[in-house]
Amino acid sequence: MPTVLIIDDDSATRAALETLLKKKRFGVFLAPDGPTGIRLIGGVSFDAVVIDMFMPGMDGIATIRELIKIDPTVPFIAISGYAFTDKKQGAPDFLGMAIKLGATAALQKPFDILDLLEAVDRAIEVRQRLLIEARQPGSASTSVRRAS
Amino acid sequence: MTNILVVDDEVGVCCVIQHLLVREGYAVTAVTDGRLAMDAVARDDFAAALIDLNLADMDGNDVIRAARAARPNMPIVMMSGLVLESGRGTPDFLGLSARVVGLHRLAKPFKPRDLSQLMRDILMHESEPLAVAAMTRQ
Repeated sequence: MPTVLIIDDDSATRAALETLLKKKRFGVFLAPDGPTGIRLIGGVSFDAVVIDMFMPGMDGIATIRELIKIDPTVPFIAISGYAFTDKKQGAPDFLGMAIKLGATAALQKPFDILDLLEAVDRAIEVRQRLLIEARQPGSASTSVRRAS
Repeated sequence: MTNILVVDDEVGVCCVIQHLLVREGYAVTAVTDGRLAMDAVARDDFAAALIDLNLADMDGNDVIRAARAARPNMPIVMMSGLVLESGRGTPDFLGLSARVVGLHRLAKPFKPRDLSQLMRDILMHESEPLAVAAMTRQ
């Protein structure tokens, strides 16, 4: 059973994603903020991590940076309740930032559940590929992630 | 039901490990400090124990020594996310712990399937005489 960690400060989102992913027989674990998520990632290597971009304290980008340091083979999906790109108002391009950091997908809330499931499936495929690459002599999993 | 002791001062990690093991059909006693761990080992009979080396209240090695003294035949898995000075790499399990018979290693962050496989291996060995099981691990 693949394991998915959801890091989101919104309890309703956590509950909804937990219900959805459990129905699809994923092992689902929840963290209400970045530091809690990072502590869990330090203990267990999840098959995929879903990270909200806008959280108080440690935001999604900072959480992603820490995640990569701890476990570079873990694929992650960025989600947000705000528009990622708003060039007119000068808002940061969080979609671009998350993708540049290696996110396998970036979804804006409210997103279609099928899009999320597809993103999780794709993340797990990436994970399998990274693990296979990592087992090959002389490979560097982080470079595989950045190239994907 | 096979009862496993999990000792990790990180509550979230403790809960995740507990969840993963329960899903595999084990009963789990999870504690988050060394003193409670030693009390549990003295009180209950566990098929195996997973003990984090970096506990907040005491050195995980001391818990391992106490557990080994109280339950000489109980398989122990020492967990650690320690990073060597040279950078990311194999956690440093040097010292007494690595040389004690019957100890297994689990480097954090570990994959759930690695935990499952390790527990299956350990509990399969449990039925073997200790000396034979120890030789297979060296």
